[in-house]
Amino acid sequence: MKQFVKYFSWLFILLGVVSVVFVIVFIIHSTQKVADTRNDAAPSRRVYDYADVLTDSEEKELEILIRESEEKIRCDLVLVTIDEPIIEQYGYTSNTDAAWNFSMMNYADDFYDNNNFGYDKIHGDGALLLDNQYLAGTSDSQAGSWLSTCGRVYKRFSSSMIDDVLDDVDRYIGYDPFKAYKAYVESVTKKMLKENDPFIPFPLVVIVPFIISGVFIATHLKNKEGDRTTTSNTYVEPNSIHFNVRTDELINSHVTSVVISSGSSGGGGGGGGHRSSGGVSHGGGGHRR
Amino acid sequence: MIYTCNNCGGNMVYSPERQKMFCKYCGSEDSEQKYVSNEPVMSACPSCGAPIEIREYLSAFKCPYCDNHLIVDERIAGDYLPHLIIPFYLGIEDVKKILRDKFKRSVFAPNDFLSDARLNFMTGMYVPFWMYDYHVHGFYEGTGKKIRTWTSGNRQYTETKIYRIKRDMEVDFDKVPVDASIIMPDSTMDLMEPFHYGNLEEFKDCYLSGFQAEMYNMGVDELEERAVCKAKGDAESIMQSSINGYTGLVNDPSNKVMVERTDSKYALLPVWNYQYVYKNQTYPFYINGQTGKVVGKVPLSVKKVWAYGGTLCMGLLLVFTMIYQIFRWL
Repeated sequence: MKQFVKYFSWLFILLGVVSVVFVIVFIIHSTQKVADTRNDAAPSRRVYDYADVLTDSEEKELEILIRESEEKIRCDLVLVTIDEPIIEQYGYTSNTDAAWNFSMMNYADDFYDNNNFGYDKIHGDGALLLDNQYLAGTSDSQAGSWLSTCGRVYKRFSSSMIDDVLDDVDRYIGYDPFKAYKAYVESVTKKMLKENDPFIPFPLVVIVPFIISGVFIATHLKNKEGDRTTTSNTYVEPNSIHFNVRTDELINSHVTSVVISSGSSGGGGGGGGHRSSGGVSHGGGGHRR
Repeated sequence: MIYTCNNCGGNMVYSPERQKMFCKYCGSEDSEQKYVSNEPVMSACPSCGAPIEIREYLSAFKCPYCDNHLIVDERIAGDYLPHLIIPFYLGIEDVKKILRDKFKRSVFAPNDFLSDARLNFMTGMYVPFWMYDYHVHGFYEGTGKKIRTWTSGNRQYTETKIYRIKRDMEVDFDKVPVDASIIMPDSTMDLMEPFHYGNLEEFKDCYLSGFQAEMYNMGVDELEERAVCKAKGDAESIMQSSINGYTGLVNDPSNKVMVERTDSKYALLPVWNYQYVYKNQTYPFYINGQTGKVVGKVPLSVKKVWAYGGTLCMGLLLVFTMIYQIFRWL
């Protein structure tokens, strides 16, 4: 027992120190009440189904789901559906991807800003999904989804996370828009709930101690009878090695050559934030259909 | 044969710590007197007179009745007279310290593994060895490649040179040891090596007093194959080490190493033996009585494996989880 305690003294000290820090941080955290400075300037409505793709009951159900999610993540979640030639509205004449992106982005950002959305303050934390149904499935389609992010959501969401949300929407939008919009709310909520998770995923925190213990046991189980400590020279009489013949005769030689092919590498692009016409910082991304 | 003290009549033994004969009863040093029985074959203890049955090959042992150390004259005489001996340089206390140092990190060993109560049962034994001198003549022929690569401009060049390699080497080996005891495992005795031959002495029977000893169990010719194998392997290694920097070495099938015995000696070498019994299984440990080299596998206590492994795992799990949660709160 004495040997055991002595052997693990470092672990017990570490446990003690971490426990003390844990308790202190816990006390500080639990006494810090998050100020519920909810923004009252925004409308209570969250679902704007201008394209009329949802039934009244679906809208209500979505409103309830959004309200519950907003309480969990303290961010506004807005859904806007339209069926409009948005590219022309923003003064573009040709239906290019750039024109579509710019138009959708401006529409979404302006809608968010003009309605004073933001959970904590006007133009504060929140996200808005703009879904355009215009001429979906035709060659002149301007259909697609744009996710606009603001505040904490903007800080949290990378381009790939925005893509993930839009992928979730794309998965159902063709045959069940309600399911697609539900997926948007759930996907954003899920990602925001992990906002404070440390960089290391929790399963790793569980697995690593098992791996370390496994290595510890394996190292101590390694049981060798002994090492060989003689060499080929151990029993050699001093100065008795004598080479009567020791030759390395070159019998053939040849040189070959090959051309070194030069490789090239490609680059990647990334997305970033932007300012809306109202001067608010937004992030975002879209998927055309 | 028995060594007694001139001063008190007690049994005198060889003390590795003092490198002298020593009387543990009166503390006298080098005051020994040798008593040799007239009987041609030892059948009774020359000290207490109790009839004793001596195990085959045993040439020195402790009388089970009076605990005096006896030497069997007829087993260290004539053909069985050893030529050489390395006396014990490490006493039982030295060996205990060596074992405790060596296994101090073996946390899974049972608690009493290194206890005095167990270690006091260690026995020092002179193990019979045959030592062979050899003259070895080796021939080697083969071909090998040396490859060099360099770049110039946008081309990479590879130069391949093929060599014919020839070696004719002679080497002398001095006292290649092979144990001549059936009860000692060969591979373990090989791991006991090397013994430092600087301490080899002409045989003196007084060194056996206080220890167990065996006479050789097998003759010099019977064991020679193992010695030849060792000398041949070493000679081949020496020859191979002279062939450097080649890739794709192709050896000729005619290569050979010839081994010629030039001399042989019968020697006794010192080995401590610790037999640890745990859960009905014996774990033998052998310690070189000259150098202190230890050979043996540590027993494992399954209870300790679980206790130590489990504590480490749970402890780290707690520490990591708390740190993770702290970072979430910050």
